[in-house]
Amino acid sequence: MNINNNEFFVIFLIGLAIVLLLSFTIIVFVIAYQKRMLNEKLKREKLEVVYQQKMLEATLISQENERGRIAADLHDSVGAMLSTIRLSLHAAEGQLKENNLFASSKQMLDETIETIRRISRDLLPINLEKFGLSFTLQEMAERVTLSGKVKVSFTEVGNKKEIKKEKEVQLFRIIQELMNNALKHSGASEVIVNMNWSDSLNIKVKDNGKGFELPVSTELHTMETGVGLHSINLRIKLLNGTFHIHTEKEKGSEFLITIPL
Amino acid sequence: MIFLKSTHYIQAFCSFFLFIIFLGNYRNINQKFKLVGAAAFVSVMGNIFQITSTFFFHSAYMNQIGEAYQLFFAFIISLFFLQINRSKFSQLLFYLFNLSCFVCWVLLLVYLNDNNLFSIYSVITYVGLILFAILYFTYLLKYLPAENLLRIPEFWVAAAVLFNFSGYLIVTLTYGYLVEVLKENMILYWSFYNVFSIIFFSVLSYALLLHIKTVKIALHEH
Repeated sequence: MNINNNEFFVIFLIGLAIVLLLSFTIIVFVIAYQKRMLNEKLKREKLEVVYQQKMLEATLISQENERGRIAADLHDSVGAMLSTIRLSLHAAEGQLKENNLFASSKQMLDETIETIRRISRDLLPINLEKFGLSFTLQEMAERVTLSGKVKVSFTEVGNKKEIKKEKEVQLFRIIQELMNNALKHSGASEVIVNMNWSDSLNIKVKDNGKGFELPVSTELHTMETGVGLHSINLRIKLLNGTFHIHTEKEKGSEFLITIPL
Repeated sequence: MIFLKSTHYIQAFCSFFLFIIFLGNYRNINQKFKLVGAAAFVSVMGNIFQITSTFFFHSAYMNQIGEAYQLFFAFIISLFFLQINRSKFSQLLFYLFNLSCFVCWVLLLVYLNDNNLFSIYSVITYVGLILFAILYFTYLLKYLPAENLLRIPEFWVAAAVLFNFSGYLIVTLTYGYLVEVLKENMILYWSFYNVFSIIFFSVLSYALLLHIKTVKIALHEH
């Protein structure tokens, strides 16, 4: 087949157009396919986050149930048995009045009963179920203040809104953990707990203790501050909230928690 | 002829422009993109030698200059792709590709002006570089390094290589037939070659500017 220069030029142009179109298609395909893959990857990651949250929720619920069971066992079984022993000892008191050992044993028993009650109350805050978060926190603040070690004040501002019981339990555990940290580690003489109800629930726990050094990492589980803050962070994440810490050595710490309502 | 000359000068200017961007921002360019600058340097030198040859030696040594330029340029671009994609296949392709190009180049030095050999040499070079670009695209799809590919300078380099060398390939494939059968002087066809080079160096300039911008932002944030 003979073809002249013009015909060849047309064939050349067509061939060129096809190849360039093919190259262009490859480039566009790469862009489009990459976007699709990226979207799928993001979807997978989101699903994973939801799954992890559900797992965490289940773990915390089972933890609460276990705490409840232990609290009930302590209160109903060990507590009842101790109370029975106390009654028996009370009956024998007349016969053994002169014995000092008996008196000290009775005092130890009273203290044990009180300790069992406290542990039981901490494990399962019955007031939380009955009267809600504010009342329980107020009661906890008064109880700690009465112990004489630290002065705890609780204030609440804004229009209180209804929140789910599960959420209340999580919030109580968070504040309980923060207060425990302040009592055990900070050496504070005063702790202020403030709840502010607005579009969100803002909780501030402030102490005048020795403070601590915040590491550069923002991931709380990598902090050297133990599992306490990590557990708080997990609970806050579960509530879709945010957590900020302001702390300075020898100047105390301030923990700010914001939970969307 | 005027069209061929004008496109040749424009493509020479484009490669020079890329080289100027490279020199002006040398400190803000990382090792990988210094290879793009090196490619621009080789291109500028190639153009200088070709223009010198045209004016002072009546276009003697034009083919030898072009062949040597092609060898260096292909080596630098393949090295760039090896830097951005260090997979085993990429490494194997790098060695095979450069060895084949070198062997062809040596044979061309022995058998001067052998059109068939030159065609084979060019086809190997262009197909090899197209393969590098496609390999990089598969790497992008596998590792999903960024949300928006258009913001990756390496993507633009790969796109420019794919587009440019696909065009070169078609011109080269027609070369043998035109010269041997139609006795055509190829002027119009070489103009296409220059047009592709203009697009190629313009896209490379954009990729280099994008890279410099990314580095500057990263430095500023740091």
